[in-house]
Amino acid sequence: VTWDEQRAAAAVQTLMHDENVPPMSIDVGAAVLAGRRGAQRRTAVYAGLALVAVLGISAIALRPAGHHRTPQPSTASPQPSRPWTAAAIQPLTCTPAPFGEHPDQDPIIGVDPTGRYVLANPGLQGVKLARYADGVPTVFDVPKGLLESAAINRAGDVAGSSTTVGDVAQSLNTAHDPPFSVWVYRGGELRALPLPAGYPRAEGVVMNGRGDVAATVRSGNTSAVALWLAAAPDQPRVYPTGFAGHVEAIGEDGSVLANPGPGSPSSQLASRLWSPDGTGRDLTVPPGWTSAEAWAFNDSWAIGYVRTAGPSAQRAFAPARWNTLTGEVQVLPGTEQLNQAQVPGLNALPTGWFVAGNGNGRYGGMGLRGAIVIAPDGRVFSLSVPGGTETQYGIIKWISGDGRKMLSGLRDATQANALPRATIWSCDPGR
Amino acid sequence: VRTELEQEYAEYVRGRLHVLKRAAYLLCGDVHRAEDLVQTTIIALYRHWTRARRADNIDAYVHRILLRKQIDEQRRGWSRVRLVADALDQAAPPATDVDARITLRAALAQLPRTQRAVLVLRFACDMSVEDVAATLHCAPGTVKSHTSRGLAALRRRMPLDELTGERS
Repeated sequence: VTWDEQRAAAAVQTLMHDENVPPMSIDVGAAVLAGRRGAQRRTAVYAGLALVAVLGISAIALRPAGHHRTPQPSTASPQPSRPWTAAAIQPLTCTPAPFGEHPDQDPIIGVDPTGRYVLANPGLQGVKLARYADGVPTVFDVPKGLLESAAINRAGDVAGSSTTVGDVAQSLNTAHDPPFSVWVYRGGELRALPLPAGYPRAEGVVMNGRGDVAATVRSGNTSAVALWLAAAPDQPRVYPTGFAGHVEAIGEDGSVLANPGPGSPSSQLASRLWSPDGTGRDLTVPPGWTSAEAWAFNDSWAIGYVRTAGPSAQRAFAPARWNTLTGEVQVLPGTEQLNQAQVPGLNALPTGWFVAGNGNGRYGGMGLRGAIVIAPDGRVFSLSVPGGTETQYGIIKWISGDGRKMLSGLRDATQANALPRATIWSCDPGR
Repeated sequence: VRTELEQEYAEYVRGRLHVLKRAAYLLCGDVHRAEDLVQTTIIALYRHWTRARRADNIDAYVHRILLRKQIDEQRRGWSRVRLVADALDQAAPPATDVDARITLRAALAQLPRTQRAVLVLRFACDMSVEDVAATLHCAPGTVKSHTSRGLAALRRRMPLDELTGERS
């Protein structure tokens, strides 16, 4: 490159950056709606039975359509510790109300299992966090100024990972990971947790009730699980995953779950569970199923789903749980017919509830057609979006153990720039 | 794409919209076509978001969509010409290099498509040679040669050296 060329390049770069781009009416919300319409057209061919019909039929234990061999409940759970069977679907009546001081500006990002403590991210900017205790907020600055993830536990402590805008910007032009910080906010004070040597990046922080913190740590394409025990926060443990995965949950005893992500070998078909002593093992995939993922701990169970392989229209999945002490696995009988093309979203919550809806992937969104929620005892409910409108959807972040309270975001699909409105639901699930 | 993925998508698009607009404007030289180009690009990005978000370089992925959409738009030619009754009122840019920028847009419009794309990606989007190569699915050496030829062509059409001298 000649000196003249460098000067010309600098001039062109300056001129281009100084370009006064005229105003354009780009509408991100319209793009989302247009994209959805396109996606719906593509998946219309797969749309068979309605979800409600599927669940209704499943409650009387019909075998699923298609050529996949679906396991009988008795083979999936040879020694059940207690009956766990889906009941017939019933409507769940809920009344939504705004949550927090600024429901339209402070979307909920985390809820502790008791529902007493709620974590919100004002403006989703990642600059500040609002920690609600019994509905009363305390706002604090995110260390380094750019939040990556945060979690709140039943003691009201907050853990998170963050970095700086400048580091992220610089990393875009280099092959280096931006340096992250992991921290705990407890009693109004922040405390940094040391990252394990060789891992500059930390993502997806989770925390249990006693304050143990886990996160995915990365260096380039190498990832591992880091665990900071509350009793020894300065000495993080590192669990190499051997696959491109991410931490999903931490149990009250310090057990950690990680799930394979994009780039993982196809042979990695199940979540990995590390016991408190650091012993790692993959969750058992019950006979007749192809893969297994768990997303939360509930008492001594890891809860998630099992799935068959094949095209999405023929892929079946069902809620499942694994006993972390005995290794026992149970598939919820009566829901084997859940079809991923019809119900792409399923999530498991730490209170033992499952959420299935037309959200995406594991998040279990409450879509425009509502959602299905499954109680820890197997009762199945259909939940409608508020007011019967077809323009609101959201993500259910928390359901109380008795099913009488829910916290979620609620987004108006017609508003391009609207944040998900923090919403609390009062529900009547019966008995 | 739903819920949190949508949120993630919207955050990304909003964060990069200014870069996309600038790139589209410089590629098209026309605000209306640029507007259409950005809108169709982000719609396409929505449909491919689950794949795009896993890309090693999301920006490269998005700019690839942008360039493809521009090519598609050019192929459609007059079928998509917009009828505008009057020129939109636009405030005069406050900067001092107005003439230079107008000249640059005109000069860019006369460059071969690939040269124009390379210059816009490198200097308007601040992408490295390697990232541009990844975006265009070509070798870094090809990017360098397009850059060199494109700059040479611009220098023939406008006094870039003088401009640089005035600025330094």
